[in-house]
Amino acid sequence: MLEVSSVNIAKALRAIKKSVWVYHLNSGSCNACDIEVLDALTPYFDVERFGIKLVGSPRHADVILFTGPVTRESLPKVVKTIKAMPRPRLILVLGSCGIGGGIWWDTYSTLGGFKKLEEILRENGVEVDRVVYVPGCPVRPEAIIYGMLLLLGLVEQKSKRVEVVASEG
Amino acid sequence: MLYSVAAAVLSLALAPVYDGLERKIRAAIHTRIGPPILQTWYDILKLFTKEIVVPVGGAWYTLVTALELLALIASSAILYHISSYGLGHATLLESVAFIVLTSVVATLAIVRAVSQNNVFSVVGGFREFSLMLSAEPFLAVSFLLLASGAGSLASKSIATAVLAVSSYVISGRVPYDIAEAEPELASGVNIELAGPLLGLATISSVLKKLVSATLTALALISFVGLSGLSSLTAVVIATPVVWLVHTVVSTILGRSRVDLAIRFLYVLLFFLSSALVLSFGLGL
Repeated sequence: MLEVSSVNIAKALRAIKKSVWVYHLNSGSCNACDIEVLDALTPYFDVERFGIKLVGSPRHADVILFTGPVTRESLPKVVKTIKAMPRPRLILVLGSCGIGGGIWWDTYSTLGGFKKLEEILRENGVEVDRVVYVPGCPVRPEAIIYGMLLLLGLVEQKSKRVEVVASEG
Repeated sequence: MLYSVAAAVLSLALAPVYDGLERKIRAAIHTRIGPPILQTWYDILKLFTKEIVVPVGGAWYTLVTALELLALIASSAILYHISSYGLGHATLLESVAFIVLTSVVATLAIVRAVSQNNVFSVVGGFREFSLMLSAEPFLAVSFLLLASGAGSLASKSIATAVLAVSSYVISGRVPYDIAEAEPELASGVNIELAGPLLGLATISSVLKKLVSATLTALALISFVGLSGLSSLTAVVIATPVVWLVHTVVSTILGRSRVDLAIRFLYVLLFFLSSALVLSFGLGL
């Protein structure tokens, strides 16, 4: 049981643009994306220049760096972790598995990515304020940083979704 | 008195800027750009816009977090008051009040950790306790010796060295940040804090650094023999310089094993204290 105060989401989102504390959440990935996450957080890429800092508790986090296809074993812990985050909750979904389950998209032991997790979160009353998907297998550190800036609204999205219908014959 | 209050208020406002400067200098040593100098202010302001999540029965640690911050403000105010006439002329009441407040800050951090109903924060609380036991007695003895104005130049120099080392430890920098060694250890005294409460705890950690730097600056300035406004001004100017030295030391030291860091501290402080006792005993 928690006592939670109301929060001005728009004001908090403006403040987060200059100070982003991230928490790394692995929901059962092969660790390739996680290695790239650690790479993106090294002094080489210097994400601290954007005010990005890695924290050890979801209570401190503004953004969750989410990897993995959400295994059945990790599901309750994942929901609990995201619920522990104070609002506004921002999630950066990384890698093919995080987005749609990857090669495990229809296996019995996984949920099949964040989209399906989002439905479970909604059912449990856990609101997520913003989500950005970063594809890749594994996802590149540059893409993680770009995705983060996109999540914060600091850059414009370069690519657009185009639906292509195959012609018959 | 008025100047002391002005100096304390100015330093309290500047402490997060010094912290931002510390992060910038650390980044420069790492050959990277680093965050803006105002980053710590951005962090604090952001935390105050976030949602407060308080576990049921957590009113205790809300109170304890606020009391810890008040105790830190009071201890820095005492230091600036002493600065206006020099450390060697501090009264016994002021010296004891400062020592008691410093111990109260550490004790409140432990109380907060234990009251969070989280085993990881209790583990962090015990780390804070071990740090307090290892540094506070040395800090108290060296501060009282310097405040009494007794002893020769040699003994005062050794007491200043003991004070400088123990005040570095209470500042909570590497490798003595083991109580809240995020993100390397997934446990710490602040693990359950969120939003504005975490903001208060962040201000407290910055003020700990300010008290630590001011303490060393005060001890060093007492050698020059200044008094009045010139002493106060010298302490205010020397504080960021000491902060800079702490920054460079913490960046060079890097992370150490919890037990090794404490053992090294004991050896160092044991040798310094032995030298201090010898210098007093032999009247050097």
